[in-house]
Amino acid sequence: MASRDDIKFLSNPNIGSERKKYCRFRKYGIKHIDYKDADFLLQFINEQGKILPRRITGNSLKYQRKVATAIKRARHLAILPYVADLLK
Amino acid sequence: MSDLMRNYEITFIVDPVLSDDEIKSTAQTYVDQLKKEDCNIIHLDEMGLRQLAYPIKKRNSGVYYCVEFESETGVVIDKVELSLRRDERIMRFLTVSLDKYGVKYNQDKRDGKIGKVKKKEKPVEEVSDRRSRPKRRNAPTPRPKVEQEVKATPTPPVVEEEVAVAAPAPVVETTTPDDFKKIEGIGPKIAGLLVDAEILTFAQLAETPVEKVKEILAAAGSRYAIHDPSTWGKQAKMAAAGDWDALKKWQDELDGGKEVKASSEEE
Repeated sequence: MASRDDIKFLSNPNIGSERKKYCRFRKYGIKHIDYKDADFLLQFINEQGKILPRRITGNSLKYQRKVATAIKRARHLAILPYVADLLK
Repeated sequence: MSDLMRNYEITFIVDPVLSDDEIKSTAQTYVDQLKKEDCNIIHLDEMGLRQLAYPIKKRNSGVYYCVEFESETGVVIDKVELSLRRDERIMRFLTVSLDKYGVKYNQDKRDGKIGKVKKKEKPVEEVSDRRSRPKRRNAPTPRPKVEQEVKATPTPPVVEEEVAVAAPAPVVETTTPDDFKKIEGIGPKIAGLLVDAEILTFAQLAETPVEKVKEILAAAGSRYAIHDPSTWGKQAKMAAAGDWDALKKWQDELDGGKEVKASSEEE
């Protein structure tokens, strides 16, 4: 049993703090996004095949644009679907 | 990148119904055409027969080719695209101009620097690091798991006892794999993976190092790599010892099979 002195916080202080999002392209120095690499692009779309927004992926604007273009190219070439269900 | 030359890449899909020779000659036609127009062919990548993400012209698969070339002017492209458009054997094509990073990427890929090593590693790391997306994706799954646990926990003691009374050793050891779903963080799919990897009992899982489990998960695809097996060994140990009460208690403290930073609470 925790005595009164042991209790520092009333609630778990880690609950509210979210992990900081970051742009993986900047962090790992990826300069080019290949539209033929379906496995890689799969990380930036949701189950319906929609492109995930930046607020979720954390991409910087520059690379979000590139990701979006790459996904659209991949869709044109039937590497990724335009519409899907249960993609993941 | 050379000064005056511009780099382009044409990807096209050839109808898979044709014979191998016809497919090859189709691709060769365009390579020849480009060469004739004073283009410098850098690489012809035969990506092979692939499943299409959606049917095109009632076909569900296609043979992909990717030609990377240099050209001084872009005039060639109009001509090539026109003939691609007129060609019935071509299902789809896409011309892309490459910037210097694209050229470097393709070069590295040919040298085997990218593709398998760099790209595959990264998703695994990132996904395990990241909270926001995995959480979203997992959102539908935990619920059934919790239900299972709730449903499973009241019943199993009875079942387990019966089994223990009837046939303690042979059943557990040989035929039926243990119900890994009782371990928080393991769902039916991962349980299947573990069984495939010849981990059949809680005891075996407890002995397997975390690294190994991670490898198994990573091998099954990046979506499994999100899962953090670090606590599974401990949970399995408890389960193997039949210490269900302790396991239940500890699971209550865990968050989706991950250790919540409980230390700060208790300090």
